[in-house]
Amino acid sequence: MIYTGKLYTAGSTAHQHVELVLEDGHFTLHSVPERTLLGIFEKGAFRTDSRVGNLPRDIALSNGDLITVQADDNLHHWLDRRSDAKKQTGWSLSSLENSARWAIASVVLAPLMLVAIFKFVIPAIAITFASYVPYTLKDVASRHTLSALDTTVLEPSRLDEDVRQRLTQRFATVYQAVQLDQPGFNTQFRYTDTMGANAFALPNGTIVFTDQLVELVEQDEKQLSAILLHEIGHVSEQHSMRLIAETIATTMVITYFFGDVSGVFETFMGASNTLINNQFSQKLETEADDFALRHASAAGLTPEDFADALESLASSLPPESEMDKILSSHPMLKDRIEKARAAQSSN
Amino acid sequence: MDTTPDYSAYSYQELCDARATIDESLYPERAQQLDELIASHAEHVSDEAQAETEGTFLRKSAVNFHGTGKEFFSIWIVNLLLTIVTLGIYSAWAKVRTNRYLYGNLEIDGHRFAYLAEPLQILKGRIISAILLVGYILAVSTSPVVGLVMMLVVAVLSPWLICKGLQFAMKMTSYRNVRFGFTGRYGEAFLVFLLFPFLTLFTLYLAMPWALKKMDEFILNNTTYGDKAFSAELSGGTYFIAGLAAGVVSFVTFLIGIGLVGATAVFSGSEAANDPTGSVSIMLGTFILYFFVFTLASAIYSGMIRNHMYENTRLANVATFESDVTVGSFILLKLTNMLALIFSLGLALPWVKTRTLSYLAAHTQVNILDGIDTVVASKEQTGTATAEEVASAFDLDVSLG
Repeated sequence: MIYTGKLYTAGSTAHQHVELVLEDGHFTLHSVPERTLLGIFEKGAFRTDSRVGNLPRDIALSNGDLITVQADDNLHHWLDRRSDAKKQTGWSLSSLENSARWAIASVVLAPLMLVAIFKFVIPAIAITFASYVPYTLKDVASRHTLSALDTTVLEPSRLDEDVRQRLTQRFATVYQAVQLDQPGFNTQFRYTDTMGANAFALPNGTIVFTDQLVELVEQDEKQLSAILLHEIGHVSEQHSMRLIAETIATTMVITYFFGDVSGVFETFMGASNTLINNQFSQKLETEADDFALRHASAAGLTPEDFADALESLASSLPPESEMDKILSSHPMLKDRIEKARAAQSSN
Repeated sequence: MDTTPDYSAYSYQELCDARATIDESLYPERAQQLDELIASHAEHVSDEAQAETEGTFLRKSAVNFHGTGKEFFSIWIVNLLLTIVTLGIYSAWAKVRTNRYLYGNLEIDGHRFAYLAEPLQILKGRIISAILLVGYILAVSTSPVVGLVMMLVVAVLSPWLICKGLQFAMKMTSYRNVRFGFTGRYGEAFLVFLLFPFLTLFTLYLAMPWALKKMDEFILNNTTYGDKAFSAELSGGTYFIAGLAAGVVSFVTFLIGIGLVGATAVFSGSEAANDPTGSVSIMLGTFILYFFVFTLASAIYSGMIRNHMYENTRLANVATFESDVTVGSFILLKLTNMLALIFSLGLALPWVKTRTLSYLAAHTQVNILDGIDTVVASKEQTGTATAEEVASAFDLDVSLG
């Protein structure tokens, strides 16, 4: 078998046309067209890269010279059938890549497994990760976050002192009722110009209500306690830490799985990252809702109280659209209300 | 005393010989005259050396891309599956195989490019960058203050990461068994990638095209092929025109688009703000419009700049370049790419990649100069993939387009 190719001299662009003649355990190299013998190379005296697609094969000689030769199946086989027979990976990889069966299987399996990774693997890793974060770290993080918020978007509460006291006392009974072993639960009230009617939990157990939320539900203790239960759910199930872990994992998956053929994809990467994180966040919100519904009776409340609270929220917000299912970090309010009502009627 | 030889007729070599043998104490004037002549010749000689680096034109070569969407799709999807199954570990091998396919199918003047990185180099880089990324995100979410500090640290490090990333990418690229290289340093990269873009803030971004020109010049002028260096002299004017064209066209398109979206919503007879279906169609319309305008602007800008960059870049006495991308066809290419990606849910990615490379190759020509056969590999230290991986994990990847 005779193959034509090019011989590149080591360390320079100089090159000449050559012919390779395959023998059993070696090949001979001739210059073209003079047909002077350039060398005989035993297997083991040269190195080849694994086959990729239909690319010409590179044969690296030990002196740094490089032969490039357009290969047919016979040459591919000859090059990949090494004498030591150890390096078979390259050959088998390209046969996977060239196989229609594998391509079709991949088209089906890759999306399925990707969904499985996002739905099961990453959340599971996130739960494990969250369980290893020490309380002191969460405490420090929470303090920093609250003081940063205080200097930017939050102001001291403008509610009457006795309203705050009354609510704080009521909330204390809720904390006690759910009987969690986590320390540090405490309630804070803040006025805000930007966040509107809102409540949020910090991972150390600090739960912040905005004045606007308290006023929205007309200081209704039951509705506020139901919201508090939802926030306790976030803290007790380590949602902040889980969301961080999920964000990290998503970023890495998108960067490393799809980053190689980026360019055109970059526009989508930011968007898809946000969309995926919204799904994670929605799932955590649903978990917090479930927590609130589960513990309602222990705290002397009913699921209906939670539904009322959500309805008060809905009344203060513009109507939802179907797009919110993918664009929002929270599940649709009407679904959440329905769920609470369903829990009420099954009681 | 009138016997002074007529040195002006001497060649440079003869002058040097005469100067070396002359008895200076006997003929000081002659020696001085010789020195002056040698000095003026030396200038001339360096001019000649200059002329030598210009190189003489040998032939015009097309650029060919031999990859096909079908072949690349199969490689890409199988590697993606293996990456997913191994929870990302295989991504290093996938990257190498993907790049080997794409580089190896690019041919100029009968010779192909090659991608030389080893998977383990890439894997090592990826592990380190993953650790740094985790640390970064953790720090940012632990405390806003720490986050701010970390962002500052990353910003200060980014010029270094960009340089290292380019260095690795270039060194792993070879053509005719000779590697490319990158010689850019932190100092200049800091100016070009951080300081200048920051300063354009005070010109209300009007000076941004100039800053982008500086970036492109920095990258091109620090790229080498073997012992030869690329040199580019770009014109700020072209960057302004390209920026202006992209800006005006996208602004006008956006206005028309918003009008259309609004009109459609009103026409469908709904009080858009209050009716959920109306706001959905507005949102969707705006979303599509955003992608459309973005694609349009980037096609106009990058098409014009590519032509300009190629025409004003040369590789010593080895090659000059031509690019004749037309804005219309480039917009069409980018738009159809975008549509194909959306409607195939991303599966068209390999096809998009190969057809874009085919298009760019078809619109590029290389003028081969006579220095091509004498390029010698430069001696350089070996690097790792770490910086490049860190850079791409932090979204700092830069490309020559």
